[in-house]
Amino acid sequence: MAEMWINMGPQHPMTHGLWNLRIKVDGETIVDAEPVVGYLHRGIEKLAEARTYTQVIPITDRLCYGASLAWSHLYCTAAEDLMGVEVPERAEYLRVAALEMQRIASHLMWLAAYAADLGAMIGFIYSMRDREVFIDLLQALTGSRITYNYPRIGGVAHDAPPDFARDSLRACDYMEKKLKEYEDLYEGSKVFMLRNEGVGILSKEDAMNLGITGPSLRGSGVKCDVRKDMPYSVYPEMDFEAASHPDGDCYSRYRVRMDEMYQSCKIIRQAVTKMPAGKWRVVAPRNGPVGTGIGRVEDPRGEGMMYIVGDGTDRPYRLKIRSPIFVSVSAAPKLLVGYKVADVVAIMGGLDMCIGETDR
Amino acid sequence: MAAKAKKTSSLGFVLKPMKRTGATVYKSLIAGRPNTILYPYQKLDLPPTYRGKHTLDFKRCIGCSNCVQICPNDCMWMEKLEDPELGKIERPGVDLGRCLFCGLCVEVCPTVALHETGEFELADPDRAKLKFGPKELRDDTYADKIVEERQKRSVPVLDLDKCTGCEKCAGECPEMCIAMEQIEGVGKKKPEINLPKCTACGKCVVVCPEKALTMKDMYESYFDMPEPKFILKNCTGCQACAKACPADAIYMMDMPGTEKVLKDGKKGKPKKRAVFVLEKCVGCGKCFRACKFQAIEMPGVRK
Repeated sequence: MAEMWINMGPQHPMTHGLWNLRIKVDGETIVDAEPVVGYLHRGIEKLAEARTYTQVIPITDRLCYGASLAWSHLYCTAAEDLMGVEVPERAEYLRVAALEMQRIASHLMWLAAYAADLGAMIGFIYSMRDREVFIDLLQALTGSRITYNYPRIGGVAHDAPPDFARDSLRACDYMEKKLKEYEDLYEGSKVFMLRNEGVGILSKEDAMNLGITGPSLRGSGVKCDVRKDMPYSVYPEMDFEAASHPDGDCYSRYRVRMDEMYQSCKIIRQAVTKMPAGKWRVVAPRNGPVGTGIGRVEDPRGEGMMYIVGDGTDRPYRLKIRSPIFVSVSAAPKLLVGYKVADVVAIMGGLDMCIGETDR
Repeated sequence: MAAKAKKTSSLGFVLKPMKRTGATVYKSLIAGRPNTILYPYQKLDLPPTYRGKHTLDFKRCIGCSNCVQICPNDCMWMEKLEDPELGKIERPGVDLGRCLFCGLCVEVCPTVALHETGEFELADPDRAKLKFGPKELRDDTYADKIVEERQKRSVPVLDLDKCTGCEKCAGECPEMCIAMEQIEGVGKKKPEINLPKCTACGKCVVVCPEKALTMKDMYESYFDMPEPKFILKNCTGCQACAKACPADAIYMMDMPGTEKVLKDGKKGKPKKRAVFVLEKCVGCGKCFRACKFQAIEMPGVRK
């Protein structure tokens, strides 16, 4: 039978954003694949060059709608590295608590999209309902629902609201109960398991060679987590494990994200109980020095990196953003070849695509 | 590719998810704990930190334009107004069609005159209606109603017109944070207060014979604001900077010995120079922009 190219995207329910997956099919079987990204290029790296160090923070929030706090935190760590600013301890604990809430919210949004893709509409509704708990907490902490603009160079914008610790602990208890419910719903569902198990297998070697990071890499059995390997903020003082699963298929990546949510609940509990009193912000210098600053964090989607070059003025000379999904999506041919067209949704959905950060 | 799933019988595949769904249906429909609200009729409570539409307190605002300068999207502008109470003033307006709702303008405000309210239903088919001038933003009571988060600090503030340079405040200060500094060309001294060391004991205010020092509550700034640098040889004494300064931090002082001898032998008026009281400065750069003779430098600020 003749082989043909199919464009899945840029307007396709599978893509979750603007990107195009071209697949070459022989009947039902995929023989080649090519991801095409760049539909959402806004030039954020260039925008940063025209703005002062403080003004860049709200722009970095727009990198990813699912995990905006992780990206503004990443920018702030890079800028603090450049300027040599010491962050007060309370600010670090507030940041870690907020980051882990953001991780849960981001994973729940992934779960919502993923379950809906695989035909379980109930998953979308349940996950979005429970995500609201954490969005409400973050809203009380930061003042906004999606684009938080919370970290600052040298601390965080606000102190925690009075009942923050109590509400966070309650939210964690609630979340752990709900996660058990999700496991019953999905792992108890034959359709969900049939579409996940043994689909989209990525071997350990391939995952490492392609530079994939985050849950997709840990789903292939590699215990690699920037929070553990290159600890930043107050993660060394937290007791948690980098979740990983050895099989490398879609179920494995799903399992890693579910385990990460348990771990995040654990970290939030520790962060809000250990949080010391004191200052939450120091004044950062207006002008950055001549030099470079680098920041690496474990984004919900993988390892994010930012590299800032300062030239002594109040604006960065260059800001380089390393997006985890830009790398992960390049593994599409490795993941897809040999599977059927119907598996594309499960395989690419399992990567947790976020086009905002991919195209920048 | 080994078997990984929890071992479930084929009946369990149906019953387990069904049990979970049934529990949720019971909770929301029968037990009366719904998961949603009827939005336009019922509304959720918003936290006090919520960032919505701006309000501006005209009496607190000094018109320094710091909010306009920090705005990442250039959506704010300064408007010249005539107010029956406040006279000729400059106040900011916001174009909410371009606003990011990042809240940096609120954070940078030195007098906490600008606030963001919980009003978020701002959609309008007409783009021009999203432009809010200072008069539409005005709400002089909002700032007093809410609990303030920014830390206040009591600091001595100098009125240079009254100061005689008697050095009594410097002698009294227990923290040794007041240094007398010679004002070049004027032949007088002025106290320079080292604010990070100041403990707000108020002794300098009590001892001042001319009542030039007063204790005033100032908000602590989270931003490193640029400071103006004065170059005396370029200053012509035109007073443009003193008129532009929103914080009244610039005083014009006579320089004795610079009087020109007029034709009839009498001496004319002495030349004036600007003197900065940097404790009051909010770092807006208005003096730098007003000066036409390069007498004020502010590194890192654009004209």
